[in-house]
Amino acid sequence: MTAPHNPLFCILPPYMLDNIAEKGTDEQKSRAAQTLSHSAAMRAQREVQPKPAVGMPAVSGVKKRTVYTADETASLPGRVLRQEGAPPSGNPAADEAYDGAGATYDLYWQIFQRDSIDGAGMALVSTVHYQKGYDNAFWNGSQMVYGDGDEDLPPAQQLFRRFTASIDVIGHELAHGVTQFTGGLNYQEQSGALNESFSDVFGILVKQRQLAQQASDADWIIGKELFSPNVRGQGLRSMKAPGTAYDDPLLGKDPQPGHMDQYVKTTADNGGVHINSGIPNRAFYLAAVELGGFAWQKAGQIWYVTLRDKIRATTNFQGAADLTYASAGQLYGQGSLEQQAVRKGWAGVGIQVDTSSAPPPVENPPASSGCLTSVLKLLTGK
Amino acid sequence: MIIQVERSGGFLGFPMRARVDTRILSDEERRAVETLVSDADFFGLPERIPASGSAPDRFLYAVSVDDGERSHATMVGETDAPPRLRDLIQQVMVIARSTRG
Repeated sequence: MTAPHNPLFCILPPYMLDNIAEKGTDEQKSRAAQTLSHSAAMRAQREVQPKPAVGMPAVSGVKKRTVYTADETASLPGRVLRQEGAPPSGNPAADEAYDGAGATYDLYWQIFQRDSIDGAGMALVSTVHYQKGYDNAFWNGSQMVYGDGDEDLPPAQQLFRRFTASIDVIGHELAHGVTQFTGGLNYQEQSGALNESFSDVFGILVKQRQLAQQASDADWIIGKELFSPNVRGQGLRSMKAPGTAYDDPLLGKDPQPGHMDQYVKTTADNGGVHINSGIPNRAFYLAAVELGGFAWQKAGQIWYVTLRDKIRATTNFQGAADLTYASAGQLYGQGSLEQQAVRKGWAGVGIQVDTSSAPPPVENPPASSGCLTSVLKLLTGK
Repeated sequence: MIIQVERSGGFLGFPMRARVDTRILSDEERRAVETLVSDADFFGLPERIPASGSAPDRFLYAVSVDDGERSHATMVGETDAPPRLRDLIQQVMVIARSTRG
């Protein structure tokens, strides 16, 4: 432990809380302190922020994006930088937020027939340049918010780039909105880790679709563009091999488990929601690779329909396994290869699907995914 | 008095910690911090301040204070810290930063 006369501020290697050494440059520590002190001032501000308009669209499938800048303050939504249909603003963060929100909207609309976050054409509001040196991005219940990381520091001092740099981060934050309007998923323990995992799943699908990558060709790295060259790592999280994304002298080692045997019990991070998400993340990866092709077509469809129709606020890992298995049976038939792939995916992380709770087979499984959603709604009465 | 703030959560998920021993502070700084601990009614705070709502990817703080006779800890989300506790967290950060290195 540090000597009493020596105040300390540092980024901690996970699970080494009692073995801290002061690391990082002064600038890095200063930056971390700024993030912490600024972010504590959010509560009053949150109460007065305007809600983005939830329109009653005359036409479905129309994007309504607005990107604001907070000009390095905590004021939301801030000053408009770019609105729907406008040409690029020239502000890289704003244009990334705009394009990323568009690509995310397109995934939901073109693949899942979902019209925006709420399913009813909700406007997509983003704010960039939130606070100074804010190393975070979040969904605040009504909009997306992105910090600039360390981009205002000299390159040698930077750890994190702006949070719009990775399109899967944008897809991740938007997916928190979708979860809010569908399954809920309490942000604690296993339901919270599932909340995180669904965001990583849809975030990575946005990226893979943009790159036209098949499941077997993708790297499955979340936040690949977030680290500066000063950090030793491929990215923030690996859905393919949780726990291997980074191993850095300053940040420590990626703490994510990829199997129930390594499930992390902690009170930090709402029960380790960003840590234990590695387990359901890998289950999705395993199912997607088993199915082959583009991950959004079958595995993504199964996960989306499960989130929309079956997930509840308190669903745990076992529940998610059983419910995705049931969804696969409804979408592709009981005993189908798709359903077996889902079962194998969860088995690969140490969760055995309880097949006894599977619903009776759907009588007329739809032939293509194009109209699956509407047909299923009719069949299930939802 | 030793005050410690641990931050967890956020999209990155990296834990961070700031720790201040008020014995090294000037009289003025020490009084200011100890007044904040008192004003925040820190030793009367629950171990977990309930979240007002779901706050995905927001920071979570674990704050602990040990004054030699008592020690207490509380956890609170970025959006749910009462104003005086928020001030205390900020103050600890400012001190840790100003005396770094």
